[in-house]
Amino acid sequence: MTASAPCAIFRESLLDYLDEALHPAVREAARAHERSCADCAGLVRSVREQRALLSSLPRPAAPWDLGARIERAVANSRRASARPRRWMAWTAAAAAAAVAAIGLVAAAPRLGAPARSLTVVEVELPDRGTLLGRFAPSYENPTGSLLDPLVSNENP
Amino acid sequence: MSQFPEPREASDAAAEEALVRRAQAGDREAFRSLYEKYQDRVFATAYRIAGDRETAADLTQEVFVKIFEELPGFRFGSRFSTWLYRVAANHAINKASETARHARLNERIARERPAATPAEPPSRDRFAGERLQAALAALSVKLRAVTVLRYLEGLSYDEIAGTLELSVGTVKSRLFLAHATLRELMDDEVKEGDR
Repeated sequence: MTASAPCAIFRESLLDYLDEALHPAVREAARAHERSCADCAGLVRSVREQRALLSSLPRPAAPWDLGARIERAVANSRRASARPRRWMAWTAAAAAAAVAAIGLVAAAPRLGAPARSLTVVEVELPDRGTLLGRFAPSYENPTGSLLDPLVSNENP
Repeated sequence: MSQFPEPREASDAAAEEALVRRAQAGDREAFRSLYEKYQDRVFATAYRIAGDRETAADLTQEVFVKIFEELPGFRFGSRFSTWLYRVAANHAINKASETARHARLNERIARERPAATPAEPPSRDRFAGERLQAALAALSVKLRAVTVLRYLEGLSYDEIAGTLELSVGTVKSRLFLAHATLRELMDDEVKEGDR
């Protein structure tokens, strides 16, 4: 059933009416409507009864071991959040150690190894003009190899 | 009036803030004091919204783990209890919505199978409180949440609005709808009982 206009207005402000939060003049008008409308009066009775019952429902008791369960769950969370930090610290330490080891090996003098140097050379290519490139000898290839061209002045 | 343990005096509020700050700094005893103070209320809210004890206990644990994890970022923009309540209520609502979805699915599956035994008719002389509890459990999660927060936990409309991130108007209209639905559900049960 659709409520009539005064009923709709009354119901809209029902909670404020029951909480006595309406302006006195509006409250009087609402009280007058309640007296004259059996449907709305029934609703008021029902809501009042519900509110009284709901407020008197006993609070459910928590399980006796709830505190211990929270304690365990929080401790697990603490451990879980500590784990990545420890992992990251170990990884950082391992990376630093690896960099240091590579540095030491590279810096160590090698018996009979040619001195490493980087030379820029200009190479004449038959029928292709000149090619300017970086020349770097390596331990594996002491005579060196042309690594990459820097400037090319190739014939078209 | 709020039944949730709001600090009544300024000194209580200051003491609680100091406790929260100690917990933020990593003081385990301070955090323990916080959950010992609030665990029963969080459990009660979770139980009323989610509907069963075991789920409510799990939810309470999860809420305090979340609070513990997010505590360092808490900037006292609201009271600690308001923040805790918001986390608890929303967590319970999400869980209850998920459970309701599963229940609807199970119901559909059950409807497609022949019923093994007829459902037990409701008792004729059920007390009004019991009928109300049954009706409350049958409300949608949204309506149940505002009802629980208002009448069982005693939050004001403003506090509920803040907790559920709704306008006060929406809180009131949901609450009115909850009352109207509870009335219908309770009337239906009385009629069922009279048959």
